[in-house]
Amino acid sequence: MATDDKYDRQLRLWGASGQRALGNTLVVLVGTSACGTETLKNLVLPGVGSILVVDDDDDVDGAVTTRARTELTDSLSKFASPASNFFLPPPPSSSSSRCVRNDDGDGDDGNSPRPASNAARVCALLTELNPDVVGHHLAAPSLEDLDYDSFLATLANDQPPPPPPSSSSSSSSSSSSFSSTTMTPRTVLVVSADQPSTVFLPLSRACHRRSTPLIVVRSYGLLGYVRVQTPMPYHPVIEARPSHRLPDLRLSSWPIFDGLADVLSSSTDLDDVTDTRDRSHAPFVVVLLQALDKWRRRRGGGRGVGECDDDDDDDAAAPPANVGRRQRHPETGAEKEEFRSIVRDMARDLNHEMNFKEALQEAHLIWADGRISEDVRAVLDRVDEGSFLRAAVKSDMDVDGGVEGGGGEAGEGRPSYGGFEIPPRVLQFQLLVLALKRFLKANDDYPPLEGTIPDMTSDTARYVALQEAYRRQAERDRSAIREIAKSLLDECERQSSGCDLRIAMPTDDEVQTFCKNSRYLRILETRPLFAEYELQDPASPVVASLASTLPSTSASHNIDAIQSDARDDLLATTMDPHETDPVQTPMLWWIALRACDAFYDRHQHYPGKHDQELALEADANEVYWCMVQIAGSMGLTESDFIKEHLLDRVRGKDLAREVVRYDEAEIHNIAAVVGGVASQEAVKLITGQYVPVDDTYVYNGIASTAGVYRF
Amino acid sequence: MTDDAITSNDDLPPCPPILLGIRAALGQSLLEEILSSKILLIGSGGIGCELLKNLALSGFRHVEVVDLDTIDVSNLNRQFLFRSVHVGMPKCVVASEAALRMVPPPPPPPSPPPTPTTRSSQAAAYLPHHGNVFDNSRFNVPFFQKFALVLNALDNVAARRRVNRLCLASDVPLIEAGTAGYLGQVTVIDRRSGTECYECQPKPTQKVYPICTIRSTPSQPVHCVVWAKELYRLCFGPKVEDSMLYEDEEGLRERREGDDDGDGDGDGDEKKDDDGRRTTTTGDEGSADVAAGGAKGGGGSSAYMGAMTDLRSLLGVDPASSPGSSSSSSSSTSPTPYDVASAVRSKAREVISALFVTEIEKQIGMGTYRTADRAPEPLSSSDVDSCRDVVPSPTMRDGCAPTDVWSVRECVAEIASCLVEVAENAIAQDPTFPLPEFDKDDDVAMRFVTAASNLRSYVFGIEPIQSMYDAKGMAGNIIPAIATTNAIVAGLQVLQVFHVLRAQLDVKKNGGEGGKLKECCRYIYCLRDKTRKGYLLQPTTLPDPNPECFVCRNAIVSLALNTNEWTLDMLLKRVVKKELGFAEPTVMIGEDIVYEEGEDIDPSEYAANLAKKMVDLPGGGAGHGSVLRIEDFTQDLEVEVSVSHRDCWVDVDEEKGGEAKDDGRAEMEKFEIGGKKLVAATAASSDSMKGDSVSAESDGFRAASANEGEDVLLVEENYVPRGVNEDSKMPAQTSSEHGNGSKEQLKKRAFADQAENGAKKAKFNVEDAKKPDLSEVMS
Repeated sequence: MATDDKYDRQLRLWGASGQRALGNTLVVLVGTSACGTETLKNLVLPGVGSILVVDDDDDVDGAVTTRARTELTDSLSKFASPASNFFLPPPPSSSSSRCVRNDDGDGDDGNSPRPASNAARVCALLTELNPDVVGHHLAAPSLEDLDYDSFLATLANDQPPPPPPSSSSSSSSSSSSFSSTTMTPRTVLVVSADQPSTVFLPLSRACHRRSTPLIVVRSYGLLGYVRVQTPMPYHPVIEARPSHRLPDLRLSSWPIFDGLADVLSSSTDLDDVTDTRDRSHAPFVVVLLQALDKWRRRRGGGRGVGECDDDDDDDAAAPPANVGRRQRHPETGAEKEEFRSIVRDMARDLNHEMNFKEALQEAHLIWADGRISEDVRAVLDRVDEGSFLRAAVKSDMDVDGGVEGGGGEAGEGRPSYGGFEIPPRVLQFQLLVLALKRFLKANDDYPPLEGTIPDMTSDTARYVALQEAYRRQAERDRSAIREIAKSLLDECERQSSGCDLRIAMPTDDEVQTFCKNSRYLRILETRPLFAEYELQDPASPVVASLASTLPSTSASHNIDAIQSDARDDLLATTMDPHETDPVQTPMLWWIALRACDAFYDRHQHYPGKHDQELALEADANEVYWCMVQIAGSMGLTESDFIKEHLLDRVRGKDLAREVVRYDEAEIHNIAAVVGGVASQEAVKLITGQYVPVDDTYVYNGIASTAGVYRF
Repeated sequence: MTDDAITSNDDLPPCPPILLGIRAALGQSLLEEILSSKILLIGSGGIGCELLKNLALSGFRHVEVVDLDTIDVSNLNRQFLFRSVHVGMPKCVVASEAALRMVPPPPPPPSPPPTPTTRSSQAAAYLPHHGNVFDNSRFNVPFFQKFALVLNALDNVAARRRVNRLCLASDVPLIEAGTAGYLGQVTVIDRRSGTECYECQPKPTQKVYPICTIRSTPSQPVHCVVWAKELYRLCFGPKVEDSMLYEDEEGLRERREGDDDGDGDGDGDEKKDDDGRRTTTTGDEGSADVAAGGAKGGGGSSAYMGAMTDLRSLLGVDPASSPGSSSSSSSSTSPTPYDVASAVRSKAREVISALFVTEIEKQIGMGTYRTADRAPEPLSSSDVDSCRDVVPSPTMRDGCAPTDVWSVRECVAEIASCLVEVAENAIAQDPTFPLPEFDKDDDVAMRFVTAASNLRSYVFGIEPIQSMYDAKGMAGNIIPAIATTNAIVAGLQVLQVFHVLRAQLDVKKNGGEGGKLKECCRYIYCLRDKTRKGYLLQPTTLPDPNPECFVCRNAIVSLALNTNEWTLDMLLKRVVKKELGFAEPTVMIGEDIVYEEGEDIDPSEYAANLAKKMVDLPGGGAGHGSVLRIEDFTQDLEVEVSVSHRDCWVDVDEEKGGEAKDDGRAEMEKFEIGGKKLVAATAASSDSMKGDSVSAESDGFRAASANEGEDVLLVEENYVPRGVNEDSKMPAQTSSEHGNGSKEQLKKRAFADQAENGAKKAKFNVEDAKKPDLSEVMS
């Protein structure tokens, strides 16, 4: 019964399909910082399928400074202790022997006083928040040395990795020590929390190869960011849930669909209706259609084909032959005004005839005619049948790399990414998009009708009749899409020559959801994080070493395109800084934060470590120098805004001093905000609803502001 | 953020490791402030849990929590301090206990005792107050004054208003927050800093449906759901006349007499047709009454009230009104449960037949649907027969799910089995059953409402038929709530806490007045779509108070109603308490106190005035042009109400060619607050285009609030924050678009929650949200 459902409130946001997607996901957390724990907490509560917490052993003090480590541990246990049974007294000392129940791997290397690893503790405490969630943990000797590629490969296997043969006792083995038996989630999402570039760059690379979404979270002093890296080839969004959507009424399509035409022809000309109640209860849709007819007659004379309007503006693509010459609708400002005045004239008393009033307010629906938008067109262009067929059929390693990107300008030699395979979810999306493309071709670029109408002043019967007309047409469109999809699958079948297809026919629900949202389809493709660093930070030793071991990525035209796009975007953004206080523009602080990371790459510790004033000032100088470098490699040095607020020595040094002052501190409250944002993006990536940020969300806790950038 | 330059940490007192970060970022003096400040938290739900955790981990040692609620299963997906073992326990107790464990241990005693702020080394205390914030004996101005600031984590408007007023009265800063789905917002209210208060801006009103739409011309599922809730009230409510479906005494009495004549005993089945016929006749006679009395939109005396009255007495909701009048009000004969079940089933058949057959036929007969292409189709008698247990109730089936959609017969069976359940519980004398008011979490109530609503949808051919899950969303005004947004908003709130404390610290250090919060605190929206500048968190300056706010600016409230009909009692209940939110009002006309309330006041003193019409009150009466002064000492609030008399109320939606026609609202609903504004907004929408967004919006609010119904509202899926949907640089544009929001448009708006979420300030209708787009299209 619904009343017993603890997920009731969220189901109302993302529905059963969203909840299913969550339940099928394994979230891997790399690093157990407060921020990462917060992120995971917000995913455990709504019921993600399972989690895997990965961290290095406590005693390794390479990666993060020891002090930060204890602090972190401390904060974690503080955070986590309510998760334990309230009726148990809190543990005597903050980080000591919290009993980890499903712990079979770590903590028992001999009888050392060493308690369970961070990963184990965090995992145990988080799973207590929601008994539905299966928890796993893994303590690696070093996060930097982990082979993320093969690590992800084991996860992707539906087979549970055999619990390392009592390697459980030797937590030093870098293989996993999964404590639970079942491990068959369908999708994986990786969260990297507060790791240095030596960890997140290889991770980014591995996630890219394995087509696994990655979220990098960082909370540093009063600053933080969330970076989204979409899986290959891209992240499809069917339910984009735009914050406002126009009703899909098709009033100006030509001809209007049969059901609507029936409604129109069965309603008397409102000018001839004398009964005031009848007049005032005709739905505004009828009012608008009659007004449009008048307008056309007035413009063209005669109801026939609009032969006199052949001059210039058939702005849309040439109408398909079967449609005949399309009747025009008001397009210019003057025409629109003319149309409105026709509606006004039709009304007898605008103050009392609500339906006419509504018709005036909704007149824009006449010229917003519901054809597919540029945004959706861009989505359609990304999918072509040839590569879809290849990808749908091939289930083994792709030999010629032809599936990469699923399209784009076909025929170009694309670099091979090796084991990369288009995920089934994307194939499903492509199938429906291809069906849509064919549908559009046959339907004058009108997508399937949504089939719902807004509330309006009307009597019940006419409203119901109208509703019915739209619903039926939507059903027809939907079954057309279904048929096309089926025939596409048949083609796959034929080409498969016996092999199994990697795709099945979508369910009716899925087809319906797709049709309802076809006006708002989106694709999100972010630049991989490692590519971003490669281009921005070629001097970094980390990047350099990475680059030497990796095939060049800039060969991918997609990454290039995104890159140059992002550059333009970024420059444009700098034209338009934070209104009241330009210094608080999040972009500046992100550069400062990146400079701290660069500092770490050089020194293996963060700036501000040494408390003496001179040391602090020296660190600030170096951070400032890094900031200038980074701004330069981002191509921002010509921006006036950057010149004024970052390149300017005095102002730039102020920024640097502020971040040096943080001394790598993680403030719980900032971690909570950033973790909240990160988990929200994670939910978007997992459920495929809403469009995730593209690609970096920068939070500035000094001014409580946040911006989204593509760096 | 801090003015401490880079300093060395060597000379600072020791600090718990977890707070080192705070000290590094915020400075030692603010840390001390954090350790010693007393914080009041109102609400320990979704945001409250996050806040408690954040406060504890930020080092706060003195927090008091007020909450009335107990823990429910549906809380567990986000209120992470609770486990299933806690279901049923008070939220504030469990939450503050949990949070206290997270508080870092006090720092070891500093070697040189720094400042006298050694309070910080006291034991930390997180005190729960399980109670209602409306309880003035506990939560009053002196109580609020103990705190450095107040954090709101509430889920309803009424309580937010109360806290707002108490904070204004006690001069304590309030940090307010709310979420809805992925959206959220945080703001700071401080009287001394001259910020907008919570009540300066209109709260988006609940969606209101014209009575006639509900009663006779539904076109959407939600109309049927609202109708079914009214039916629930009609069946089980303590006062049958509170239901919108209640039909008046005249017809009822007539009908009852008819019953007395006609019904001897005999079983319900045969009476059915009998009933039907008779009611139709009474209906015809009734039309004459309507012409005369004219108050009822649908007209005619009731087709169903007779059966309903019998049902109520059978269920033990009402004492049998006229014993022996009906064979089935057999409560006097203390029947066995089996008898009751069959009696209820036969009465249920009668009621369902009256509602879904007779009433519909009557309306058809009156020509209500004469212009309709498709007239509603009454249920068939075989459908109605499903009452008699021939079809199993759908919720008894194996494997039934809340998302099932029930057939006509299943709906009928479900209603019957709900009624039987209620009757059996009445006999078992379970006092909590049924709930007098509809509650979305009550299983029987939800089953009843779903089934009744769907039957109506079937009759009117409205689609889609709702599953219980869908109906619950509509009926319960459920706002989606998720963990992630709560986490963000609570984090932002605590950051505002730091700002407030820093400002207070400055005052302590440097003297001065305080009240500088506008300089450091911000109103923050969490947006769903980034703005053109790429912002997803949009901080804006704290707005100035609305000069017309009667709460913080003592503005005069204008009120229009029929002063010859309204009694003081009606005025107090509907306007003073419900609309203006007074708790213990004192009402004065000139120097005469006409009403007073409170602990030490004898209620009988003014009892005589309560029944008086407003014009007849002492002190010259409260007729057209008079001014009432209303005070509430518990909230330190005083307001002047200027009364204008108005006796003509036109129903806009049932307009017949300009003829003024009474809109059939109950007298209690016929009033307008801020009436003058309303006229201006309706008649001259072009004028209001010149206005700034604030006044345009408040006009709109008043227009809509005048029509505010009970708890009829809808959740819109998409909320858009005010003025930030496109580009904050274009307020003029946005507001002018908004200014077009004439009364009608506003009425049409399905504003997002009112009751449950807090993001109300930050959003207005989708209609407005898309305006910037449209302006492009239109130009």
